[in-house]
Amino acid sequence: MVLNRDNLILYSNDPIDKIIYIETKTVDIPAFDYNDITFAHELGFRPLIMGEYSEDSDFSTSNTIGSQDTSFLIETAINADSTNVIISTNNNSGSAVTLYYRVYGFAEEDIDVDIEPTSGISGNLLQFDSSLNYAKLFDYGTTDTVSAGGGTATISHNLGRLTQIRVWSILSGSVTPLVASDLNQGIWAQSNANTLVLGNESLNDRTFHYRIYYDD
Amino acid sequence: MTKPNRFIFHSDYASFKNETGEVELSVTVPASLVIAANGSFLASDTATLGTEGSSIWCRGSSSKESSGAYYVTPTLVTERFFTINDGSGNQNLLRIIAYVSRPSSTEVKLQVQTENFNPFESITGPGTAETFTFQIQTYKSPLAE
Repeated sequence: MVLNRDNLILYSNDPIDKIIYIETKTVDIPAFDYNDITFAHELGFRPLIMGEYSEDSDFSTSNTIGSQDTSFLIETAINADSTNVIISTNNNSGSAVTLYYRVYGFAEEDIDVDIEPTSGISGNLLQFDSSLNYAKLFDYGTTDTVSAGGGTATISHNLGRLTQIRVWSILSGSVTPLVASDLNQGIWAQSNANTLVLGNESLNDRTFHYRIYYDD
Repeated sequence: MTKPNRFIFHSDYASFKNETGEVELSVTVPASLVIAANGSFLASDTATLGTEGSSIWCRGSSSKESSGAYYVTPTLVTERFFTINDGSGNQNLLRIIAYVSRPSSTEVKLQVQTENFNPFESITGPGTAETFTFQIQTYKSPLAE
């Protein structure tokens, strides 16, 4: 009998992704200028970094770091290596802007080291709430090098349906979340019912880290 | 401290909690779209989903890409040829950007945008419409109350 894991909040075969790194930053950017900040994460390994940003300190509006900005005037990017996190912000508007960042990180599965708890950072909030569901990690891995200018890598998951997937790009030892699929000039991640295809139309060879979740 | 990868779940470490519901948003770039010189096309679709600070997890497709396939990112960028309306038959390659954001603490929004950078002539898009569709869920931020 095959269990439908969608009906379970926790299933021992498929771990829940644990957030092992949380950081918040506030960045001021003058008009028609940029501000790149670098800070040490002190994890001792390269985290799978990601996050959101907002122009509102309470995050009443928000956007994914690295995604297109609704005004087309703000450009953001984030990457991490084994020592630092770098957040880059371009402000193409004529007004100074303050951006608030929330940064999270996962650990790749071969990381078997003690890590400071993140529960304290998130305050008195419940770490586990049985009234909610959690993305159960079904498969993960890092591809071989995918060649610039049209190379692809295909991963078969054979789940028979679309599922949640997250992808990171790795270039020169630095990892950045894949939040924009650029089919002609950049990198992309495409899934169907049974496969994940990672494409590289950029100018540099890359590897990718992928995480395929059971949940759809 | 502990080694979190040895556990399927550990209360020392936050996680993304899947909020209830999923929405599908669609925006269509009309067939033979005409964009004025120095003009732009912007269309959007909005739905109620999520709470303050939620993280977007989504996948998006274009009707002109392979059937049944989705791109697992909140931004999808394609390029299409638009004809310059000066009688020459020449074409410009325009980037069409579809992207999901959170315009308020309880909404998600799909916007599709392209711009005509030609300062002198209008342009006309492909003869068939292109629909961008995104399936969106939100996960509660570990920093959200």
